[in-house]
Amino acid sequence: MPMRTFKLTLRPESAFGTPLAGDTLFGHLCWALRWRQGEAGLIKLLEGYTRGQPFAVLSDALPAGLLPRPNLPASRLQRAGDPKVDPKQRKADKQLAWLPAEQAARPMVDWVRVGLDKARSVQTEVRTQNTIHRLTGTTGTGVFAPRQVDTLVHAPGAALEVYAVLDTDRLPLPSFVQALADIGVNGFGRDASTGLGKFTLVGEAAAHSWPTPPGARHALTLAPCAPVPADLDADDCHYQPVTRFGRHGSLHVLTGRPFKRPLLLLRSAAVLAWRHPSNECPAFHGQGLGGVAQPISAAEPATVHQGYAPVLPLALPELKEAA
Amino acid sequence: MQLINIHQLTATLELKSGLRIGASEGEIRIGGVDNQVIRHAHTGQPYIPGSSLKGKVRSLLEWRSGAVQSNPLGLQDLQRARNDAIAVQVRMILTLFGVSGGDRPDHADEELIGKIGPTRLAFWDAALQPDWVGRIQGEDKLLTEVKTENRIDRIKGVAEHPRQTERVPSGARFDFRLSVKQLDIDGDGAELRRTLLAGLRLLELDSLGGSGSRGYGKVKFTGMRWGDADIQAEFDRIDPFADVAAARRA
Repeated sequence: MPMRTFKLTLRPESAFGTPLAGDTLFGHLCWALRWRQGEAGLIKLLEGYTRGQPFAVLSDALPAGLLPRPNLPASRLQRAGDPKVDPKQRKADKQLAWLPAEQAARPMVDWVRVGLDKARSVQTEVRTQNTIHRLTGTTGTGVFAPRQVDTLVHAPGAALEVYAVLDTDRLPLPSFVQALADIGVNGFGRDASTGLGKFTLVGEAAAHSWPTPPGARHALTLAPCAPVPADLDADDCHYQPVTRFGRHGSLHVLTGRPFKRPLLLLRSAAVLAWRHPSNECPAFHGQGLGGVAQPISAAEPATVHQGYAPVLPLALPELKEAA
Repeated sequence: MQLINIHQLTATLELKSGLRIGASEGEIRIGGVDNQVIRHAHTGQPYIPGSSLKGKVRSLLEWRSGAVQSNPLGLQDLQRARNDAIAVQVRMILTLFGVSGGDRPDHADEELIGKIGPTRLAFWDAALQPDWVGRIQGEDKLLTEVKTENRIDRIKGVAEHPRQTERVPSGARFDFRLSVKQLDIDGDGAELRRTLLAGLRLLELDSLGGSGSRGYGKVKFTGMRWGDADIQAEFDRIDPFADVAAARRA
């Protein structure tokens, strides 16, 4: 089954109520495909999803030209003999959340020296909303009380990049691009019908491949990931956990049971170490979660969650070389 | 149930009077304006949130339906409708604007939910048109105005409780956009389209934002397009009460 990586550029057209995370985007992709191709079409695409055969694996939407700083301890970013890093400098370095993508083949210890401040990417804005009492035309108490909601606002002209690993035999690129465009015009995430989560696609989807540094034994995840322990050297994997309290969208909101079971995943930018490294880094890693055998939703047992994440190879010093 | 099309309704939304949509005031500045308008976090330019547009159009259609109540209409109001004419209107509103997840009655009719389907409308935030911003800034003017108001003591005839309110001035032009899903259960979608356009005509006849009864928030749509088709003339001819009046007579 040929899995090919493509890079797509999105231009935000509004604020977002939900961050553009890879697994959430995959959920929207499933709905968009379900509406375009019917339920039978989606069921066919999901065949084998929980057995390591995804039809699509999506990354988080990343600021154009940038990748997230790998989640690594300072000790793992030093060569043997390097002087100890000043704690203040170490904390300052952690704020440099984004690294230039075109330098991803550099040795890790050099790459993290050219980071960019996380404040560049997005700002939080608080909006006050309310429901107007239809008969008095005023706000009030209970459901009519003003409420404040957070939104994420990108700078005008900002561009985001999504890396998509596709099985183009099952989901041709034009169908994928159409589904992504549908998500953009209808809105992504919370409050999409009231203005949030709009984006447009810029340019064409471009085939993409990551440079493989010589001797790369590690990989960086670009979306939340449910790892496969048998493939990994746990002693040299570095990550933060994230719990997903998922919620159904579209029609399933009306089932009366919109909430899914919580899932424990690795946060994006985890560093994985392969137990048996090969010359070629896989395009993605992880597991397809849910499905009828291990349901994550009481409302829709066939629900799946993207536990796969696109990965790129990393050149990290071996443990014995690290300080 | 399957998606047939996603239509894009676009227009210029022009202000015929000052518009005030309030912001969350994160700080209080000495000498600052009491009531500020909502602004884009990066550009600082005022905009109209899609939630304000959606909420106002929905509430106006609810008033037109004959089923209006204090809360937004829900599934149970469709089941309780006094007659078929009202039920048709309520159903159109729920189909276009959606049913809240918390709104489902305990024993809701699954078939009814299946017939209504997902929310068809996705409103967009409306940003100021760049050429209008360029013209105003080229004249060294501000994008907002500050209006001072007060209350007159009826007996003494003197001003009390002066307050300042920020508004986007009359003449400002915004890019209005709306995505409309058409499903196979919607037929040719004509009924939903007619209800939506009637709602936008009602918005022109009423007001948007705060203080509408005091003259704020009068708006006018121009250059309206449904996809590539110019529908401005059709829109201007709409009498939003004609459908409902005919249904009541029947």
